[in-house]
Amino acid sequence: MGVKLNTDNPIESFEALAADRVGRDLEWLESYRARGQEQFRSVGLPTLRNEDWKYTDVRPITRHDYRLAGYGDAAPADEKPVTVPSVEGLDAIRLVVVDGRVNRALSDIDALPDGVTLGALTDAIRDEPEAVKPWLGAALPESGHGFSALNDAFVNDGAWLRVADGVALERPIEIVFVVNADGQAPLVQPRNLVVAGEGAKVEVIERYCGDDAGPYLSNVITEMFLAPRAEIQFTRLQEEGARAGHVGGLFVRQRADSRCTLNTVSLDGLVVRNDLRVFLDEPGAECHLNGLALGTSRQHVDNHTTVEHRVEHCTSRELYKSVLDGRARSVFHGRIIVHEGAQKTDSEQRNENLLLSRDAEVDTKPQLEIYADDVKCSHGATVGQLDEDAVFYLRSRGVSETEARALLTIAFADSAVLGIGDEALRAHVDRRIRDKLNRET
Amino acid sequence: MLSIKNLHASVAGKPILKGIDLEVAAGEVHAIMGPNGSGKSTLANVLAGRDFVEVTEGTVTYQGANLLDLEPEERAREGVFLAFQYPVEIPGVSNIYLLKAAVNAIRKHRGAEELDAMGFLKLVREKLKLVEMRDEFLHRSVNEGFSGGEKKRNEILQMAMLEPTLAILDETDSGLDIDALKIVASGVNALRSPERSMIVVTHYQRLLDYIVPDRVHVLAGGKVVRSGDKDLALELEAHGYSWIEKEPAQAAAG
Ligand SMILES: Nc1ncnc2c1ncn2[C@@H]1O[C@H](COP(=O)(O)OP(=O)(O)OP(=O)(O)O)[C@@H](O)[C@H]1O
Ligand SMILES: [Mg+2]
Repeated sequence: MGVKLNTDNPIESFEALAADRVGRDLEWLESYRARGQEQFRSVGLPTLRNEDWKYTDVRPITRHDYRLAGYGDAAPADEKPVTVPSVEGLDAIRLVVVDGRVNRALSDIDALPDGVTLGALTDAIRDEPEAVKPWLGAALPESGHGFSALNDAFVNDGAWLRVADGVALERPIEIVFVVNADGQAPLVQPRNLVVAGEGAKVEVIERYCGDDAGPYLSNVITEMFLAPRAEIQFTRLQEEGARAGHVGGLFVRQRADSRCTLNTVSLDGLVVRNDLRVFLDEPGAECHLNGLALGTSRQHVDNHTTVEHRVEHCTSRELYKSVLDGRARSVFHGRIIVHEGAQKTDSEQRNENLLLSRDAEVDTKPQLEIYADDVKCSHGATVGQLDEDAVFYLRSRGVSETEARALLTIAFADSAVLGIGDEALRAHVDRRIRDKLNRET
Repeated sequence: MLSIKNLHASVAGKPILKGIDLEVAAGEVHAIMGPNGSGKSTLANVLAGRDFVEVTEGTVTYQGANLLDLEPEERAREGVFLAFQYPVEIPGVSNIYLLKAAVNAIRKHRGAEELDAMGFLKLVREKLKLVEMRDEFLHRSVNEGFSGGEKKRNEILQMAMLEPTLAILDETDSGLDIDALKIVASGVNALRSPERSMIVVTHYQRLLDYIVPDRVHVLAGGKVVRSGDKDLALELEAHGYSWIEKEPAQAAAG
């Protein structure tokens, strides 16, 4: 059975759509889902009239007849084989999620280091519900938008990662989300939980991939929790199919002296919306947010970020960039909220945009809300074109015009992906940027 | 080598070059002097292929072919090199990356094999020594945060790497201290050969003590108003440009 998100209300057929959900006997889980349903009923899908969505029209990705995926048995035997695109040279512990369900056979999680739990959220809910309970929903803001409510309502599978106190992983954890659109217009809604114990150290890579064959929608939420002194190096690399919609939430809570780097790289997809929110809950927490959106043809990428300095002595650094060609459009809305009493806050935010064509468009809105008086906060936004003097300089040294433009564009984009820890992944991103630009020019 | 005939060019519709004639034979060094705003850099830009300068009349022949038909990168590959008066800063592109891309683009064009990492490093180390630059400059972004003198030396480093056939140096001596001036001059002199020609734009006779020109031209108001041998530079140094501007222009070919 299918739903058109813009005309059918999936909540009304919740029982039919999500009959196979895990943990129907868990009261706390069912009431969590019920709250999501209620929220969706009250807010519905966002429209251009919502202040937070006024530049992002979701109709191109809500009008399809979606089949809700991610329930029932994972990977039935008769399913056709799935190819999981890999990153050259990346040596990681890999968890594969196909059409919203964790696929054990395709994953490589049999020999995990001590102190590391990695697997399906459905399994965790079944096997150790009490371990999941404190975290599910705990990083989300009070009231989310319709997509986030929808993810809440249908919460079922996704990645469950826990790193015990003091454990430092050598290899990164790579979670690959693959969607087989296959003309079936799947709607996948993974929920991922990452819990890092005191002093734990881990690099997490999320990759979103899908085929170009048809429309589908990834409506994802990742919640991440850092105990005191934990360190997480996180990269979300979005390489969805050309006709896909991607609505990605990333919600992070940080305790004392924890540190995280959050890289959000948006390369593909048709309409992309990222909501990222970091709560700096205890003193000494530090976060680095890097974002790159590379849009061509008619792509639309919307990055909404919020950093909440809730207590004193926290640090945040944010650098978001977009490179736009064709008729692509990007939106950046970056909020920094410094709560009352959050003295000695140290915060910097920059948004830089490079337009490669006349028809590309950027809307940028940095927003500082400061309720403390002893703080250091700065922000700035720029929109510009390639420096023609630099193009000429390179050409005058024998470099072709196409190459010169690509080189300068990559140089511009690069500083936004330098935060990616894993070298193989960074090289992959560089390659993808280059390929994409060369294809367009 | 280079033959410029009756060259007229304008920028944003405003005529800047108003009939330039210049002949540079292989192996020769020509100095171009002249007051600020007389069109020296504009001429250099025309030769390098900058598109905002529009050639409205005249011809430029380089090694027997029409130079104006070539894209800037094609000119570079054919051996034309411009050391810029104001080298641009390119954040995010390392000096070494640019040098490698440039050297290999030019080698490829000449049908030579691309240099491997070792061969390239050996070459670049040798040239660094010539301009007395430290290795660290290789890994910095092109010209970013370089001092004025360092930028000029970096231009000479590039020139030394690319071994051009026709080098145009646009005020490479401006802003250099005496030591740097000698370094730049020795970099230039190291390249002097019977197959190479150079056009050296300068305001100062001083440079010409080190790089002794075969001909000196004075550009004023978009025209070559006087040409002579190296002694012309000395006269200019002593009297300024006013005495020339008062005299009628004379034939400039040379
Ligand atoms: N991009 C431009 N737009 C408008 N005018 C320009 C441009 N480039 C050059 N000009 C003008 O052309 C004239 C010649 O400039 P040019 O830079 O060639 O002078 P120059 O002889 O190199 O001077 P200097 O000795 O100061 O370097 C000047 O009047 C200058 O203002
Ligand atoms: Mg000049």
